[in-house]
Parts: sequence; structure tokens; C-alpha cells
Amino acid sequence: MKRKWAGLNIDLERLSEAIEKFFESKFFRVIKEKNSETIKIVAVPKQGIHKILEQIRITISGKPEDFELFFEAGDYSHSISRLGNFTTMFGGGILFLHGIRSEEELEKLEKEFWDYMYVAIEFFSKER
Amino acid sequence: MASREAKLKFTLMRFKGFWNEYKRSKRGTLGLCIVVFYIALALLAPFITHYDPYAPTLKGYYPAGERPQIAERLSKPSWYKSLPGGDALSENLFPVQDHQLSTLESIQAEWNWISINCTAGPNQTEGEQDDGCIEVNYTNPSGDPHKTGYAIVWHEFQYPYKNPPQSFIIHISMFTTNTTATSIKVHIADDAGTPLYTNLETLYLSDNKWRHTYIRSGVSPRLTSKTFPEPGNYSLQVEVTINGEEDVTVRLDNIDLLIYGEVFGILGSDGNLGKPRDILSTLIYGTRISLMVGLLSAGISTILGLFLGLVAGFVGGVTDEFIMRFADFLLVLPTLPLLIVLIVVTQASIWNLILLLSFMGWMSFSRQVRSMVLSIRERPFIEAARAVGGSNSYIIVRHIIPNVFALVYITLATSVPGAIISEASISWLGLFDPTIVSWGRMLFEFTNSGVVNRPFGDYWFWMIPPGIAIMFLAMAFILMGYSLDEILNPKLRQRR
Repeated sequence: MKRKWAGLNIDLERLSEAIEKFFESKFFRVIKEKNSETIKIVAVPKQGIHKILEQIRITISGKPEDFELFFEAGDYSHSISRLGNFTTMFGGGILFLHGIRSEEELEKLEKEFWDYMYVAIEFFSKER
Repeated sequence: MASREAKLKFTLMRFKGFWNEYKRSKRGTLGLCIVVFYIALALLAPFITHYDPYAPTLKGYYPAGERPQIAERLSKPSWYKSLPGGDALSENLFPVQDHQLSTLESIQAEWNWISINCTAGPNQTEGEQDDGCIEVNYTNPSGDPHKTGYAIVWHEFQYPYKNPPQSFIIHISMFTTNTTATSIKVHIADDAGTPLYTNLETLYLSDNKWRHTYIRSGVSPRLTSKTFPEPGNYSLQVEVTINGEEDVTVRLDNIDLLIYGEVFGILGSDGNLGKPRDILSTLIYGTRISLMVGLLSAGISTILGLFLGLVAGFVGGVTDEFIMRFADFLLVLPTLPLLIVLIVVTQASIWNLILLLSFMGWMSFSRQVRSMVLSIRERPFIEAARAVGGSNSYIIVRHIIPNVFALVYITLATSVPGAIISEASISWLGLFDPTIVSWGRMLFEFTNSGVVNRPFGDYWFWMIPPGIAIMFLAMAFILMGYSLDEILNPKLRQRR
């Protein structure tokens, strides 16, 4: 999912740090990659803690006064649940359960992420 | 009225938009084409098949008992004749055009007769069904006990194949008056009139009734190769011998010769004992069962899943926990063994199978619905609906169901393959209704026919077509389901 902010003048480096902290607080392993145009953050779920089965990629692109945030996750969970759905007669239901639980967790996490982002961006905009 | 029109217009516009997007998906279009093809086959089955697999017999009147089979067991496909060395293979040959001898013209065109000490010829009204027959009249006014009347009635035909047939059947109806010493023999003779086959049983007739009989060669390569040693002219002969002091009338009717070759139809015939079926017709009729089981069980399980998912997601609490834990319990069970047990316990009827498959197929959909309902019920428009006094049922019907309905189409498409494969598996295991012609049943009959141990190349045409049919139909629904999922699933749409 993509969301856009304009006319706020936010320090994108500090925003990326806030995102890192968000995922670290949720016990994700975080990898950050930066170039002149974008900041990419990859959050990898730790096994045994999360039900989420795939990596989450956050991309910040644009300028401090006009930037976009991308929240992307692959469709591995969905593929797993689809495969499980087709093979329930051979015990594939367990795959379906893993897949759908991962999707549910992911959706919950995404909602929390955007709520957190609105708060963080408002805070950074008032700070300047 | 205007608002109804506007709604209709809006619905049509939405459908058009969806259709434009769906058309762009190559796999979705391919899946839809395959499904439409199968549906057309299922609907047109009685019109496009030559033989009904539920009654695989020849049309026509055969009073000697059940109508004769359409082909010999395990006949190879007809196009084998186009393969190198295949031109020698024999085909079905039914040389008698009007076996009921219904008209004088057909009797004169097809039959010949000679007689000694009696007369033989057509009779237009005294046939077994008050139509035509061939009548032999023997009179003995002097009461000579040593007199013998003798007549031969024969039909000439050409046998054009190098290989002998697999088998042949002769059908005949006979009627005699006033005799205890009439014998009727049936021969197949060569061009010179020498009998190559004579039915071993001489039929002594002694009453005033019509008698009907089948004379079957059975599958005996020795007998058929002796009867039809090479291509050429042959004749079917009926020999009537009458000894006696009284006048006698013998009538012959319904005389037919059915020669069953080595090849038959586009996909050959199966190995069903007694009444082999045309494999192509069986395959086409099998489409009906697979589609019916697949679509009905997917439909019922989707409705059940939608209802339970809505209840679990919207009501929440203990109800949610109970429904979801039960769904999880059923989900982790491999349903095939459970289905086998249940189908054995209940009767193996098609409706039981549909209900059982529906009962085993609702869980995943209800989980998906519940997950969506949990997300939707927190949204502002639901809060707004509540704030203005919307009841639970109003919110469910007007706001929640429309939002989860896209999932219904996806689930319908993705549930069908599972049901089709389950039905095929149950039938293949021999647990499904044996009177129903289905693809799985075809595989079961193949497995249990005894030919399964023979080289694969010999009878592949019986096993491969139902397997391919199952694979393509299941694949078509999966392709459609994937495409619908990509277009309609809001979660995937957001993430893309």
C-alpha cells in the first residue's frame, strides 16, 4: 500500500529511524539500505515469534516536503493458503491455517504501522 | 424507478469494468474457455454422443432378450487403422439392413431362398410384429413318413477386413406349426456356399409360438479366424429341414448378423463385462457428474462458509472461538480418509457425496470471511451506520456482505477442483454409486478390469482420457480462481 504526504518538510532520515524502531519493537530483524532517492527498510520476521511468513519492505521516496511511503509484502502467505485450500483432502488444511494466520497478522501489523506513521509524521512536522 | 435504473446501470458498469480486467488475464480467459467447453459438453451430451453409456446397446428390435452390445470389449480406437500396419484391423460390420424384414422390397433386396419339397418366400403380414417375414410351407398330402422338406434362406455380404472380427452374434426369431421334427441351423458360409461356421445347437421346435434366440460366438480368435479367414464374399444362411406326415409352416423373422471388429469409435470401447461402453460417450457423460458434484458442493460449502464466517466475525467472543476452533479442527484433518469413512457409513449416493463434500469444504472460506469481517467492522462507515441506528442485520446485509462478496466468486472457483478430485478419488476407490458414469468410475473399472497388468500401450485409451479430463477441468477452475483472486481480492489489490 502507498501513502503520500506533501507540504510538511519532514526529515526522512529520522522518519526511517522511527520505522526501524517500530519494527525492532515488534521483534523484527531490520535491514536498511539508502541511496540518493530512496530509503529502503526490510523487516524480517523472527521465527518462533511471528506468525508472519514473509518479509516486509518499506520504501521512502521523494523529498522532505513531498514524499511517499510504500508498505509492501509478498504474497507468500496467500500462496501458501491457496495451496492449502486445494489440498485439504490430503492434510493441506494446516498450510491454509499458516497462510491465513500470516495474512491476518500482516494486516494487523500494517494497520498499526500506518497509525504509527501518522503519529510520527505529525510529531516530526511539529518539531520543525 | 429511476434509482433502480441507475443501480442497474451502475451494476452493469461495474461488471463491464470487471470483465475488461478479467479479459486481460490470459490464464483466466483460458480457464473460462475450458470451463465453457466442458459445460457445453455436459449440456449437449445426449445430442453429441452416439451411444448412451447408461444403456450401451444397439438400437432396434431384438426380442430374444436384451439388445445386443455396441462393440466387443476393449476395441481399439478406429484411428488405429490409419497407423502403419493398422489397415488390417477389422471394424464393426452389421450387414443386414432390415433385420425385421419389414417390407417386401427389403426382403427381396437382401434375401435369397431355395427350397426342395416345400415352398419358401416372403410373407408380408405374418411376421413376428405383423409385418414381413420369410415363410416356408411344407405339405405332405400323401402322408409319406419318409418325405423331407428342405429350404435355405441366405443373405450375401462382403467382409472387407484382413483380420478376423473379435466376435459375432446372430439373432433369429422362428415360428412353426404342427411339428415335432423341424430343425433350423444357422451357418456362415463362404463365397462357394460352404459353411465355415454352423451353430452347434439344432433347434427342434414343437409349438405354435414365436421363439427368439441369440447365437453368440464369444471372443474366440480360433473360431472367428476360421469363420472369416480372409476378406471376401460370405453369406448368412438359415437352413430349414422338415420331416413329418403333417403340413407345416415355418416363419423366420428378425434375422440379424452383428460382427464385432477390433476397432470401434474415436476412443474405442471399455472392458465392461457384458455391455462394453463407448469410451468417448462415457467420457462426455462423465463431465455431467464431475461438474454437478463440483459446482453444487462448492456452492453449498460457500454459502455455509459465508454464513459461519459472518457469524464468527460479527458476533465475536465465544461464538467466534467455537466456530473457528471447530473450523481449525476440521482443517487440519486430511479430509479424504474422513470422507472415505463417512461415505462408507452413509450410502454412496451422489447427493450424500455432495453434502459430505460441502460439509468438508466450508472451513477455509469461513476463516477468510471472518478475517475480512473483523477488518470491515472496525471501519468508519460501520460506525456511522451504527450511530444512525442501523441494526446488526442491516449492517450485515447492507455493508458487510457486499464487501466480502468478491471472495464468494473466488472461493466458488477455487473450491470446485477439490470437489472434482475428491469425487474422482472416491469413485476410483470404488466407493461411489456404481450405477453412475463418472471419470473416477472409469478409472476404477480400468484398475479392476485385469488389463492393468498388461503393457501400457495396449489399453491406454481407456485410462488416459478420464485422467486428462479431470486434470483439465480442475486446472481450468484453478486458473479462473487465480485470476479472480488477483482482480477481486482486496488484500491482494492493496499489496500490488
